[in-house]
Amino acid sequence: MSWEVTSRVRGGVPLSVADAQQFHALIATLTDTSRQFAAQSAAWATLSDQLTRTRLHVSSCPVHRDSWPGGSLTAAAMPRLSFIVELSRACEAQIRVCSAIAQHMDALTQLVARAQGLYLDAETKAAHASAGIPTDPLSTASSVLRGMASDILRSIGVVATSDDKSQPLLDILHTTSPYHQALMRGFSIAVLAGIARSRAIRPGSGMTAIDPLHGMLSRNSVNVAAEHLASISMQLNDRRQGNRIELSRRYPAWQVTRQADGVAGAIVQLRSLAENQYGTNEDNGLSYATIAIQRYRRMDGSAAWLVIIPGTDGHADSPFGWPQNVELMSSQARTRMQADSARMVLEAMERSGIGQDDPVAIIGHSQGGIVAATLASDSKYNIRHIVTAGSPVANHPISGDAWTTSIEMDDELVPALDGAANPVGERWLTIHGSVAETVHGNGTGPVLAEPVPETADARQMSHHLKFHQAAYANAAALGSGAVTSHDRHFRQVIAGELEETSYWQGRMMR
Amino acid sequence: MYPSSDHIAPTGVHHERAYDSMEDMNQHIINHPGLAAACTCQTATTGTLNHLDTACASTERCVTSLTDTAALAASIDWHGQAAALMRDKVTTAIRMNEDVRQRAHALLAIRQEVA
Repeated sequence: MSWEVTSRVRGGVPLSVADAQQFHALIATLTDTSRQFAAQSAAWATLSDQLTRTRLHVSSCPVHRDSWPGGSLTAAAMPRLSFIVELSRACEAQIRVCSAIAQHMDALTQLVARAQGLYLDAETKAAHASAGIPTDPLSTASSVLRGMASDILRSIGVVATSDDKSQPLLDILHTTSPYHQALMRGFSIAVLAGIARSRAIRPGSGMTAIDPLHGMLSRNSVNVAAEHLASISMQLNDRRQGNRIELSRRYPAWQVTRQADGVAGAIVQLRSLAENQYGTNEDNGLSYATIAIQRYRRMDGSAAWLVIIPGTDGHADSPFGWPQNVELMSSQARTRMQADSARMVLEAMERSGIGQDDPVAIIGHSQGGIVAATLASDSKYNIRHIVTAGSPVANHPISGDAWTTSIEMDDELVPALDGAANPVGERWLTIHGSVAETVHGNGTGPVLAEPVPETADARQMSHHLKFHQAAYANAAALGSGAVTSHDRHFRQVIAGELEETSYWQGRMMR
Repeated sequence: MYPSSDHIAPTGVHHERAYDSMEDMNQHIINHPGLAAACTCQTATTGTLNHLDTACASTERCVTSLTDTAALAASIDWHGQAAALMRDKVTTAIRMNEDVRQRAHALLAIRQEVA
């Protein structure tokens, strides 16, 4: 069994009115052609039914028999019968071909729509409506949905352990993917309601002044809830891990990352760093909680930078642990910037020599993407473009000058933890990837899907970077102007020759 | 229900009767030896030919649809792998439909012989 990804594009540079009209006209023509062929197939099928009746009539016709009753057919009847037989065979072929053409036209309609980001909002609303789960956050706090939410959130245990053995939970994630955002919002409201109740019982309790009741009604209720949780968890984690970051530069035995050729190339480097920092069969000197900072030399002699940040590793002394995710998701800039992972990356950027005006691009996976969004929202650096893979960053107040390219898999849960869809705009492009089993032979699979390498027969966690890599590759193949323009912008930020790559490892100390 | 049989009795009265089976029809004719047999398949054959005409007309309309689709696909400002794949599939669909059309024309030619 093999797996493939198809992508849909949302946001980015919008189509011009003229282009949108043309694509809508193309979709309408493809749809109409599909209907015509379906009708033609039906016409041949009707003829086929008629032929069955006619054959019976000819076979039993007393005029066309030598002797009656039950005699054999006369010579005069033979041409009629042989015509019917030939017609029957031809009908089968016509029905088959016309149905196939109709299916091709349907598949092309889907291809055009997802390449150009058309109908996506309607499809999303339809998916939510048909699922019967209202997106009104207050109503998602019912006990039945809390049960469903707990099933989904149990699967975070799968994410935490990087263990692909829990097939039932992965199947739950896949099946419930249209509900993840709504459920996370409902969950956060339940958390805030609990906090509000505890404050009512014990006025003055709680470590943050943010009003939980106000947060329940806001779009970023998840981030408000995270702020409340972080106000407690941060202190607990500091006691456990310590609050001092020991940052050291590492020198791997060989170059783990190379020149990034556009967004696709940057994803390759991110994946290489993520997979190498956990060690391979050969010890290259890199370990967990390691980021890479690349310096590019532009034609005019100025420097540009690419910061590459892998995700949560969960080690006891890592700045990229699980609690830091909560801090990074906070609605408050101060809390976000206090997160150990954000502090580590900032220190590494400073020690690498990145100037405040130097153009910087950042690419991150999971927590690495949340760090990228945090720096683009809250830091002093000139962050021009961030690429996030599997990161919940919808509510981060990213600077208006920064471009954001987000890659999210439908069923990976993590990007939905912000409880909201990413903003849509020229500077924010979201690529949604959908994983499915590869359909072989019968041509009913989607047109143009990207195979996922190194997959097992069983469903795997789509939070793995290889899925985001396949999703981006498929999006690029769609030829959407939005994807092309984002890639072009990313290349312009780090235009130049790669001059040096530095690797920075962080450890928490008391 | 077995196909009906139009029987013209010696008296000139036209009877129409539906049979439950081939055996039922045969037995009825055996029991009424005076009945002159009439053709039972002409109506069905005519119906078949009408349906064939309908299906062939539908084939011609699809040619127009595909031609329009191909023209729009060629003119639209869309590049890359997906766009090339789309245009290729439309071209393939035109070839497939040409087979359908040729087959339909061949059947129409034979149709004349049995009409």
